[in-house]
Amino acid sequence: MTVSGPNQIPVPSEHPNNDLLADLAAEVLPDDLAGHVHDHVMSCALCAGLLADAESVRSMLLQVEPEQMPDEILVRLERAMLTARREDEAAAAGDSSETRTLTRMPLGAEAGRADPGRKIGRSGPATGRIAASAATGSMATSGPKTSRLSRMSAPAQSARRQAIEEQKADRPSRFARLAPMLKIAAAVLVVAGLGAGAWQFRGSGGSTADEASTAASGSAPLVAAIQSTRTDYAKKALPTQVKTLIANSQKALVEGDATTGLTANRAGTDGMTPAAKAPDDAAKSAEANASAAPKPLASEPGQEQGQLLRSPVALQACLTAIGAAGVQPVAVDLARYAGREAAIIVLPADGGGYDVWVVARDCRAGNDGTIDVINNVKP
Amino acid sequence: MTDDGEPDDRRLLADHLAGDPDAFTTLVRRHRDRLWAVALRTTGDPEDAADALQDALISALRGAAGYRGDAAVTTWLHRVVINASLDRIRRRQARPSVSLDGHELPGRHDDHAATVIRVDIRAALARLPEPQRVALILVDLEDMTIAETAEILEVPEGTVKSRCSRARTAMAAMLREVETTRPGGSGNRNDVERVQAGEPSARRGSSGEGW
Repeated sequence: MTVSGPNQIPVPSEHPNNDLLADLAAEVLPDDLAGHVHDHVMSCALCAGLLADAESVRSMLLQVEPEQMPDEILVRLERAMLTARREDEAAAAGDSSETRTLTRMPLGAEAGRADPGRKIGRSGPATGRIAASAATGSMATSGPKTSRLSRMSAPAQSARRQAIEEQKADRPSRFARLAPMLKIAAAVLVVAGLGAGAWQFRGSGGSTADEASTAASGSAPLVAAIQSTRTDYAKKALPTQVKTLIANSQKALVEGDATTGLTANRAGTDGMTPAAKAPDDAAKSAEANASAAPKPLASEPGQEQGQLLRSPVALQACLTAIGAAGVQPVAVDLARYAGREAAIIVLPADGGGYDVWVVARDCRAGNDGTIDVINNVKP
Repeated sequence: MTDDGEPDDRRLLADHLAGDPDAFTTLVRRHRDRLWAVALRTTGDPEDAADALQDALISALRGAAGYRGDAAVTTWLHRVVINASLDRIRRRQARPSVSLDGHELPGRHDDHAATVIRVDIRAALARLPEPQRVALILVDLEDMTIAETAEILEVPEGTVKSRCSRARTAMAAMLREVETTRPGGSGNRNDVERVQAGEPSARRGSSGEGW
């Protein structure tokens, strides 16, 4: 025993270590050991003081004002979440046709993802890079990457379907969700009835891989009016532009005048000037006019080269590449997007909207050239 | 529904699973500061905290179906954020470390007492063993109960008590050291008294060793 401090408080020469003191305070020590430590503390001002300070730490910490999340961090997070959701939706769109490619995926590729509440302990590329991959157009839209995302989102998709079923009672009608498909079906029936010469993409003459993919997915032959306009699509004006595109596409199918993909929408441009309008002008019109519409194109130099989507087989391959094999496009337009050449592929989406894929005109298996994906556009 | 008539957390999560594109964002916004605080205090670095939070929220967004509903949504979210933060720390440990003592934190040189205390506390937190730090953050900084914390960390309540108590004792000892090394530090009053009085911290002596 020694003495310490001006008041000559007795201090034992051997102190319990901090953990023992802490466990004494937490009342988690076995009784016999607790007794020894307690006896020491009662006779040691230093240890008693430390315990008193430790006890005070809690009240001190509770007084610390939490630092607020900076707005720029929130913006970043929301952007990342939006990108992730788009990726998942794009991957989900290809779920039904992914059976073949799924078998190539290594088991457990999505380990640690299914239940994020469990210890993550994963390594590898940070999720934070998702936005970058999407921006570069390398979004998981083909082959194994698509399959991986599809599998990752499978639990969520399953639960989502279940939740939708559970919420049926809350929804006035399922018509809105089915509307796009019904429109397509109606158009197909009309085409069949008229025996018109709409473009019917059956994949004949295509690669065996494409055929196998279609067969595997059990999809119906594609029926789509491929339009080729100089419309410069812009995200802001997309709902209006897509609305006009769909209308023209359906009209082309009904009139059986879609084989060239050029003529059906001549009467439905909502006052837009015809084809020869410069892209810049078109962009300005799209911004200025809420009824901006795709403009018919009389001819487009070089359209047969580097624009593979004019080929039915190529369109089929592109749909497979973006994870939409077996999905019936509502409309396809070889046009422009944000000032650059692009193909606009409109696919039906849940909720009565449309998923709009903006891809390179030479979109193909292994290189879909995705420029942008705008989900659930509601014209 | 909440008292404000807003959908509660469970409703938002269900809406998210049902395809509502805004539900999860609403959930995040509602708890943004708490989640940020947990990530920041766990990682001790704003950039790592932002990365961890991004990892966590995307993971939660995609794995929302894994929420079993037997705990509060915030409990589940905290668990995801802590896991991501610890994951981020482990990645950081694989590269050259940056001591918090030398880290330029906002207001590092601010003389305001609260800022000084906050920097001290953050530095002290960073020196705690990971399990103790996380437990202390949840119980003493986030004011969660022992039971909630045990649920988040998936350990017995006694373990949480022990970790918290050890962390507090270690922090008390560390804050003493800080005070003795700070120019102009005095040894008459402890940190708690000084925080309550709005003054910089002061601690006396060093902790006992032995046993």
